[in-house]
Amino acid sequence: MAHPSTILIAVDPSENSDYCVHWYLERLHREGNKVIFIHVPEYWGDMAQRISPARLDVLWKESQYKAKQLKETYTKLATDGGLSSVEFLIEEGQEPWSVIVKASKDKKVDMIVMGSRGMGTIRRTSLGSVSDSVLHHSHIPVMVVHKPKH
Amino acid sequence: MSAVKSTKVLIAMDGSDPSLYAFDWYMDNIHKPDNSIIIAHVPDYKSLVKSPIISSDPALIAALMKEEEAEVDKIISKIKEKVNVVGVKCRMLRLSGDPGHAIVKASETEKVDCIVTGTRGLGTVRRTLLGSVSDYIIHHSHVPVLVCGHK
Repeated sequence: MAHPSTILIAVDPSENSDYCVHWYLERLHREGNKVIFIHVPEYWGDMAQRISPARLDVLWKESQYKAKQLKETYTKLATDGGLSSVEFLIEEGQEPWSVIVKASKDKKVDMIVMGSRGMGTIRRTSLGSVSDSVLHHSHIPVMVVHKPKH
Repeated sequence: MSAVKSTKVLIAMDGSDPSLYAFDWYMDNIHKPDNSIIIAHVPDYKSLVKSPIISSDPALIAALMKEEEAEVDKIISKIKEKVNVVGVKCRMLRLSGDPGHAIVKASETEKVDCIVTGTRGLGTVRRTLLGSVSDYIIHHSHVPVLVCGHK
Protein backbone atom coordinates (compact mmCIF):
# COMPACT_ATOMS: atom_id res chain seq x y z
CA MET A 1 0.00 0.00 0.00
CA ALA A 2 2.92 2.35 0.74
CA HIS A 3 4.24 4.21 -2.25
CA PRO A 4 6.68 7.10 -2.77
CA SER A 5 5.15 10.55 -2.62
CA THR A 6 5.98 14.02 -3.86
CA ILE A 7 6.29 16.48 -0.99
CA LEU A 8 6.27 20.27 -1.25
CA ILE A 9 8.03 21.95 1.66
CA ALA A 10 7.50 25.71 1.93
CA VAL A 11 10.46 27.50 3.53
CA ASP A 12 11.61 30.98 4.48
CA PRO A 13 14.66 32.18 6.45
CA SER A 14 12.95 31.60 9.83
CA GLU A 15 13.91 29.13 12.57
CA ASN A 16 10.49 27.57 12.13
CA SER A 17 11.39 26.50 8.61
CA ASP A 18 14.63 25.04 9.86
CA TYR A 19 12.78 23.01 12.49
CA CYS A 20 10.18 22.01 9.90
CA VAL A 21 12.71 20.63 7.42
CA HIS A 22 14.59 18.68 10.09
CA TRP A 23 11.28 17.31 11.37
CA TYR A 24 10.35 16.16 7.86
CA LEU A 25 13.69 14.40 7.41
CA GLU A 26 13.51 12.71 10.84
CA ARG A 27 9.85 11.73 10.96
CA LEU A 28 8.10 11.88 7.61
CA HIS A 29 10.58 11.05 4.92
CA ARG A 30 10.23 7.68 3.28
CA GLU A 31 12.69 6.30 0.78
CA GLY A 32 11.73 7.20 -2.75
CA ASN A 33 9.92 10.40 -1.74
CA LYS A 34 10.52 13.30 -4.06
CA VAL A 35 11.07 16.58 -2.21
CA ILE A 36 10.42 19.99 -3.72
CA PHE A 37 11.28 23.03 -1.62
CA ILE A 38 9.56 26.30 -2.38
CA HIS A 39 10.56 29.74 -1.26
CA VAL A 40 8.58 32.89 -2.02
CA PRO A 41 10.88 35.89 -1.50
CA GLU A 42 9.45 38.98 0.15
CA TYR A 43 7.43 41.09 -2.22
CA TRP A 44 8.49 44.70 -2.32
CA GLY A 45 6.18 45.87 -5.11
CA ASP A 46 3.74 47.83 -2.94
CA MET A 47 6.57 49.66 -1.23
CA ALA A 48 7.65 51.18 -4.55
CA GLN A 49 5.70 54.37 -3.99
CA ARG A 50 6.91 54.95 -0.45
CA ILE A 51 10.63 54.35 -0.60
CA SER A 52 13.45 55.40 -2.88
CA PRO A 53 14.44 53.23 -5.86
CA ALA A 54 17.89 52.86 -4.32
CA ARG A 55 16.47 51.47 -1.05
CA LEU A 56 14.12 49.23 -3.01
CA ASP A 57 17.06 47.84 -4.94
CA VAL A 58 18.90 47.06 -1.68
CA LEU A 59 15.86 45.25 -0.23
CA TRP A 60 15.36 43.29 -3.43
CA LYS A 61 19.00 42.24 -3.54
CA GLU A 62 18.79 41.14 0.12
CA SER A 63 15.76 38.96 -0.65
CA GLN A 64 17.47 37.38 -3.63
CA TYR A 65 20.60 36.72 -1.56
CA LYS A 66 18.57 35.12 1.25
CA ALA A 67 16.74 33.01 -1.32
CA LYS A 68 20.00 31.75 -2.78
CA GLN A 69 21.29 30.94 0.73
CA LEU A 70 18.15 28.99 1.55
CA LYS A 71 18.45 27.05 -1.67
CA GLU A 72 22.04 26.06 -0.91
CA THR A 73 21.38 25.21 2.74
CA TYR A 74 18.29 23.08 2.25
CA THR A 75 19.43 21.34 -0.90
CA LYS A 76 22.59 20.30 0.92
CA LEU A 77 20.67 19.24 4.04
CA ALA A 78 18.35 17.09 1.98
CA THR A 79 21.00 15.42 -0.14
CA ASP A 80 23.17 14.84 2.96
CA GLY A 81 20.11 13.19 4.48
CA GLY A 82 20.17 10.66 1.66
CA LEU A 83 17.48 12.10 -0.59
CA SER A 84 17.97 11.41 -4.26
CA SER A 85 15.26 13.67 -5.66
CA VAL A 86 15.49 17.27 -4.45
CA GLU A 87 14.29 20.40 -6.18
CA PHE A 88 14.34 24.00 -4.90
CA LEU A 89 11.94 26.52 -6.38
CA ILE A 90 12.22 30.26 -5.93
CA GLU A 91 8.90 31.72 -7.06
CA GLU A 92 8.07 35.39 -6.97
CA GLY A 93 4.60 36.41 -5.98
CA GLN A 94 2.59 38.96 -4.05
CA GLU A 95 0.75 36.39 -1.97
CA PRO A 96 2.92 33.49 -0.80
CA TRP A 97 -0.05 31.22 -0.03
CA SER A 98 -1.30 31.52 -3.60
CA VAL A 99 2.16 30.80 -5.06
CA ILE A 100 2.51 27.74 -2.81
CA VAL A 101 -0.92 26.33 -3.65
CA LYS A 102 -0.37 26.90 -7.38
CA ALA A 103 3.01 25.15 -7.22
CA SER A 104 1.40 22.21 -5.38
CA LYS A 105 -1.00 21.79 -8.31
CA ASP A 106 1.55 22.42 -11.09
CA LYS A 107 4.00 19.92 -9.59
CA LYS A 108 1.23 17.45 -8.74
CA VAL A 109 2.44 17.06 -5.15
CA ASP A 110 0.82 14.73 -2.64
CA MET A 111 1.36 16.83 0.50
CA ILE A 112 2.43 20.31 1.57
CA VAL A 113 4.68 20.62 4.63
CA MET A 114 5.20 23.96 6.30
CA GLY A 115 5.89 25.59 9.64
CA SER A 116 3.00 27.08 11.62
CA ARG A 117 4.72 30.45 11.45
CA GLY A 118 7.39 32.13 9.40
CA MET A 119 9.24 35.39 9.47
CA GLY A 120 6.25 37.54 10.38
CA THR A 121 6.72 39.68 13.45
CA ILE A 122 3.14 39.59 14.78
CA ARG A 123 2.93 36.72 17.29
CA ARG A 124 -0.65 37.15 18.50
CA THR A 125 -1.99 34.15 16.64
CA SER A 126 -1.10 30.49 16.92
CA LEU A 127 -0.96 30.16 13.15
CA GLY A 128 0.80 32.51 10.74
CA SER A 129 -1.21 34.04 7.91
CA VAL A 130 0.53 32.12 5.12
CA SER A 131 0.06 28.74 6.82
CA ASP A 132 -3.54 29.64 7.60
CA SER A 133 -4.30 30.56 3.98
CA VAL A 134 -2.55 27.51 2.53
CA LEU A 135 -4.59 25.29 4.88
CA HIS A 136 -7.83 26.81 3.72
CA HIS A 137 -7.04 26.75 0.02
CA SER A 138 -5.18 23.47 -0.39
CA HIS A 139 -6.94 20.54 -2.01
CA ILE A 140 -4.33 18.16 -0.72
CA PRO A 141 -3.18 17.26 2.81
CA VAL A 142 -1.12 19.85 4.68
CA MET A 143 1.27 19.10 7.54
CA VAL A 144 1.50 22.12 9.84
CA VAL A 145 4.70 21.84 11.85
CA HIS A 146 4.46 23.60 15.21
CA LYS A 147 7.83 24.34 16.71
CA PRO A 148 7.99 23.48 20.43
CA LYS A 149 8.52 26.49 22.68
CA HIS A 150 11.34 24.95 24.69
CA MET B 1 22.64 14.76 9.90
CA SER B 2 19.31 14.12 11.56
CA ALA B 3 18.82 10.53 12.62
CA VAL B 4 15.54 8.93 11.58
CA LYS B 5 13.23 8.42 14.55
CA SER B 6 10.17 6.25 15.12
CA THR B 7 7.09 8.37 15.49
CA LYS B 8 4.07 8.22 17.77
CA VAL B 9 0.97 9.29 15.85
CA LEU B 10 -2.49 10.13 17.13
CA ILE B 11 -5.24 9.83 14.55
CA ALA B 12 -8.49 11.56 15.41
CA MET B 13 -11.39 9.49 14.11
CA ASP B 14 -15.09 10.11 14.50
CA GLY B 15 -16.18 7.44 12.04
CA SER B 16 -16.99 9.96 9.33
CA ASP B 17 -15.80 9.51 5.73
CA PRO B 18 -13.22 12.32 6.00
CA SER B 19 -11.70 10.66 9.08
CA LEU B 20 -11.56 7.26 7.37
CA TYR B 21 -9.94 8.97 4.39
CA ALA B 22 -7.39 10.62 6.71
CA PHE B 23 -6.52 7.21 8.19
CA ASP B 24 -6.08 5.65 4.73
CA TRP B 25 -4.05 8.59 3.49
CA TYR B 26 -1.77 8.46 6.54
CA MET B 27 -1.17 4.72 5.96
CA ASP B 28 -0.43 5.23 2.24
CA ASN B 29 1.82 8.25 2.50
CA ILE B 30 3.25 8.71 5.98
CA HIS B 31 3.24 5.45 7.92
CA LYS B 32 6.53 3.76 8.62
CA PRO B 33 6.80 0.27 10.16
CA ASP B 34 8.35 1.72 13.36
CA ASN B 35 5.53 4.21 13.92
CA SER B 36 3.04 3.55 16.68
CA ILE B 37 -0.58 4.59 16.20
CA ILE B 38 -3.17 5.74 18.71
CA ILE B 39 -6.70 6.24 17.47
CA ALA B 40 -8.59 8.83 19.46
CA HIS B 41 -12.34 8.73 19.36
CA VAL B 42 -14.49 11.32 21.09
CA PRO B 43 -18.21 10.58 20.90
CA ASP B 44 -19.88 13.82 20.05
CA TYR B 45 -23.31 13.34 21.51
CA LYS B 46 -24.57 16.60 20.07
CA SER B 47 -24.34 15.27 16.53
CA LEU B 48 -25.60 11.76 17.27
CA VAL B 49 -29.01 12.22 18.77
CA LYS B 50 -30.65 15.30 17.39
CA SER B 51 -33.62 15.52 19.70
CA PRO B 52 -33.27 17.89 22.66
CA ILE B 53 -34.10 16.27 25.96
CA ILE B 54 -36.87 18.32 27.45
CA SER B 55 -38.37 15.54 29.47
CA SER B 56 -37.55 14.59 33.01
CA ASP B 57 -39.01 11.17 32.48
CA PRO B 58 -36.22 8.75 33.55
CA ALA B 59 -37.45 6.06 31.18
CA LEU B 60 -37.27 8.37 28.18
CA ILE B 61 -33.84 9.67 29.14
CA ALA B 62 -32.58 6.13 29.67
CA ALA B 63 -33.92 5.16 26.24
CA LEU B 64 -32.25 8.11 24.57
CA MET B 65 -28.91 7.37 26.27
CA LYS B 66 -29.17 3.77 25.14
CA GLU B 67 -29.78 4.97 21.59
CA GLU B 68 -26.71 7.23 21.80
CA GLU B 69 -24.55 4.39 23.10
CA ALA B 70 -25.74 2.17 20.25
CA GLU B 71 -24.70 4.86 17.77
CA VAL B 72 -21.29 5.21 19.44
CA ASP B 73 -20.77 1.43 19.32
CA LYS B 74 -21.64 1.44 15.62
CA ILE B 75 -19.02 4.08 14.95
CA ILE B 76 -16.35 2.32 17.02
CA SER B 77 -17.04 -0.91 15.11
CA LYS B 78 -16.70 0.95 11.84
CA ILE B 79 -13.31 2.32 12.95
CA LYS B 80 -12.12 -1.08 14.18
CA GLU B 81 -13.19 -2.65 10.89
CA LYS B 82 -11.16 -0.11 8.94
CA VAL B 83 -8.08 -0.78 11.11
CA ASN B 84 -8.46 -4.56 10.75
CA VAL B 85 -8.81 -4.36 6.96
CA VAL B 86 -5.64 -2.28 6.75
CA GLY B 87 -3.97 -4.71 9.17
CA VAL B 88 -1.97 -2.36 11.34
CA LYS B 89 -1.67 -2.50 15.11
CA CYS B 90 -3.33 0.45 16.84
CA ARG B 91 -4.30 1.47 20.32
CA MET B 92 -7.78 2.89 20.63
CA LEU B 93 -8.59 5.67 23.07
CA ARG B 94 -12.14 6.57 23.80
CA LEU B 95 -12.24 10.07 25.24
CA SER B 96 -14.98 12.29 26.57
CA GLY B 97 -15.76 15.96 26.56
CA ASP B 98 -15.31 18.55 23.87
CA PRO B 99 -13.71 16.69 20.92
CA GLY B 100 -11.02 19.27 20.01
CA HIS B 101 -10.01 19.86 23.59
CA ALA B 102 -9.95 16.14 24.43
CA ILE B 103 -7.82 15.27 21.40
CA VAL B 104 -5.22 17.96 22.08
CA LYS B 105 -5.08 17.01 25.77
CA ALA B 106 -4.65 13.32 24.86
CA SER B 107 -1.86 14.23 22.43
CA GLU B 108 -0.02 15.89 25.33
CA THR B 109 -0.71 13.15 27.88
CA GLU B 110 0.35 10.43 25.45
CA LYS B 111 3.35 12.55 24.32
CA VAL B 112 2.61 11.94 20.64
CA ASP B 113 4.81 13.38 17.92
CA CYS B 114 2.06 14.16 15.46
CA ILE B 115 -1.73 14.43 15.16
CA VAL B 116 -3.65 13.36 12.04
CA THR B 117 -7.11 14.74 11.35
CA GLY B 118 -9.57 15.12 8.48
CA THR B 119 -10.88 18.52 7.50
CA ARG B 120 -14.45 17.79 8.53
CA GLY B 121 -16.33 15.20 10.52
CA LEU B 122 -19.88 14.22 11.33
CA GLY B 123 -21.04 17.72 12.12
CA THR B 124 -23.89 19.09 10.07
CA VAL B 125 -22.79 22.70 9.64
CA ARG B 126 -20.98 23.04 6.31
CA ARG B 127 -20.46 26.79 6.11
CA THR B 128 -16.72 26.71 6.72
CA LEU B 129 -13.91 25.00 4.83
CA LEU B 130 -12.51 23.53 8.00
CA GLY B 131 -14.64 21.83 10.63
CA SER B 132 -14.58 23.21 14.17
CA VAL B 133 -12.72 20.26 15.69
CA SER B 134 -9.97 20.26 13.03
CA ASP B 135 -9.73 24.02 13.38
CA TYR B 136 -9.34 23.74 17.16
CA ILE B 137 -6.66 21.06 16.84
CA ILE B 138 -4.64 23.10 14.33
CA HIS B 139 -4.64 26.14 16.57
CA HIS B 140 -4.05 24.48 19.92
CA SER B 141 -1.76 21.57 19.19
CA HIS B 142 1.85 21.86 20.32
CA VAL B 143 2.92 19.15 17.92
CA PRO B 144 2.70 19.00 14.12
CA VAL B 145 -0.77 18.38 12.69
CA LEU B 146 -1.55 16.66 9.42
CA VAL B 147 -4.79 18.00 7.97
CA CYS B 148 -6.05 15.59 5.34
CA GLY B 149 -8.12 17.52 2.84
CA HIS B 150 -10.20 15.49 0.46
CA LYS B 151 -10.36 16.68 -3.14
